[in-house]
Amino acid sequence: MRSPLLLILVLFIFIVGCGSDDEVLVCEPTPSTLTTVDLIFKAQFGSEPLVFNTTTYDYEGMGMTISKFDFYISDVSLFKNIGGATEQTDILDIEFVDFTQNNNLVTLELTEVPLGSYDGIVFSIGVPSDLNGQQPGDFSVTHPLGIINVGHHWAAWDSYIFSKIEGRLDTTGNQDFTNFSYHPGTNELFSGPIEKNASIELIANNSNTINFEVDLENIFINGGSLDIQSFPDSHNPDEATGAIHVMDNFPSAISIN
Amino acid sequence: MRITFLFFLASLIFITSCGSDDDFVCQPGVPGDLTSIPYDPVPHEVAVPFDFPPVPVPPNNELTNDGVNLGRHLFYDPILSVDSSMACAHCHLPGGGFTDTLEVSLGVGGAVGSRSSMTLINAAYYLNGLFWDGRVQSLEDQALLPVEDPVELMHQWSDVEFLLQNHDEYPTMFRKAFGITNKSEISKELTAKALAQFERCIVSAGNSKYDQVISLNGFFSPSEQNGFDMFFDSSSILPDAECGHCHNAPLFTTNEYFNNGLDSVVSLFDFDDPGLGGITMNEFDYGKFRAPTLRNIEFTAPYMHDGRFQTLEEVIDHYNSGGHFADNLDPLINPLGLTEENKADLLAFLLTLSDTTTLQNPAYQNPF
Repeated sequence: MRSPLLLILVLFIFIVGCGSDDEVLVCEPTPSTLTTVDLIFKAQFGSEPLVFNTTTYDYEGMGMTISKFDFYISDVSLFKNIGGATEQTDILDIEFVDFTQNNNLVTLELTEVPLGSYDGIVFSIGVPSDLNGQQPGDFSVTHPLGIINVGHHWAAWDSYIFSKIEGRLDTTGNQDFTNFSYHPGTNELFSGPIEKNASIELIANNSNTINFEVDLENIFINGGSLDIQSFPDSHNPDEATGAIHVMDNFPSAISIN
Repeated sequence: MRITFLFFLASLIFITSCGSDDDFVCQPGVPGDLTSIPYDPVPHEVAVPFDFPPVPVPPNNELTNDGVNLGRHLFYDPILSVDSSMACAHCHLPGGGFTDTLEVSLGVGGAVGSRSSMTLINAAYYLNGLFWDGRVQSLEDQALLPVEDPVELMHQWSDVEFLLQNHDEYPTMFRKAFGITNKSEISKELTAKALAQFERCIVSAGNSKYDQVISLNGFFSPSEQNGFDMFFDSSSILPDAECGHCHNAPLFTTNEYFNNGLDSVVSLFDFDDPGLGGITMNEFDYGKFRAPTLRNIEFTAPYMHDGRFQTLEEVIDHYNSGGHFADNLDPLINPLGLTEENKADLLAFLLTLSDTTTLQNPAYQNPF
């Protein structure tokens, strides 16, 4: 008795579901609910695009040039506010944003991101603790944490280097240079989650982009300018003034367009 | 008369070469046919130290025992040079840490090159360009260049291909390595692939004192430990020698390119050797060279791209000085303030990277 009923039900669904449009030859599966998204990162120095080596920026009355700027972005999710709750969609575990090697513009192409309207994006800067305890040899060579980025693992800290910011400061205007290099790392300095509200519409068959603007000047000056002459580097875990300053300022230095 | 004699001779050869084996079917055959030789590729495994990832291998050149063996023979065979006087190994001697221990390499006829030969140790992991200037991206592409370089092997690939195709043994070896069906398929591309397979296998054995300590199977002496702490800036008491930024573990290179302050120039275009800039034509890449691995650095003197420093002591003195300023001088090149004791400790640590078992590995030696 149950079987004939089920058969009739299946036939009914089939007939109703297909409709009568001549152009529909077969019942299509559910349209894809996934799309591609480009995360586009652009580095600024204040209101100007960041230019490596050749452009001198004013920093506290001194001339600053930048020779390296990169960072890890991790735990990236899109979120929707639904009533009083938030629904989060993970889209990226970790990637390396290297402005130096990419002329100041980095694009991360993500596939299989669910379509929809989102209210913002959440991410972190640095390497999450579960990954940070590992070493480059634990990953495939081309993984962002693998040998290809071996310069971003610091065995003495048992940590990845979350970001590298390097350059020099002409302290007198007479080519009296102070070199600086900030290489923050260790779980304590992991920055996140950082939440940014933004209206994000991901549409099928469209070139979806989410634009990140990263202001390096903000990283230096927010909360009071970093005293680069007194703290020109941050390689030693016992001297983390520069590293803390840099990591504390990443959240305010990144905006979503 | 001559034609008749030749015909008779050819017939005689044909008849006698066939023999009487029933399993052997005599046919006129295609000249250079290799299909009677078995092709049974066996994957080649490469052992790596515990803190290395598996050797990366391109999908179009998987390692096989026969491929590696062919590459090893080619690497040591002077057939690749125009006068059969030099092989790849002449500039990459195992005993010299896979360098030639010369300031700059010498080619066929004593032709003087402009750069020091680079070590091949862990070349499989050089993922950011090869040569001092990063001009090629893969070992396969790298292997193509020295053969025709006028200050290296000075040969022509077309001639090399002819020699290999008509060699007594190489056609069989190419067949076993790559499954070619005819001698005529022996090409410069397959030759380069075989060389790359062999070079990809030259990996640290993981038996240096450094490796033993890191794997908790040994201890540094106090001097070596001080050197380690300065190398990686892991002490707040000792000065930062800034080494690890460009020579990071486990490879002891980051495969990046730097101006490490060797030369004083007015303009970045004034470097005698443009290095990376000669490839990218980017002004700020002039005078930059790839940071080589420091594994087995004890055996690869002289040092730098032009072999200007004869000893590691000279190298340490250079870095301690802060080098010469240039607009693209790496910001980590600063006066270090190392004392004589500091320098001795740093040297002691560098010597813990020596691993003669890598250099003496029978699999890397001359097969002839």
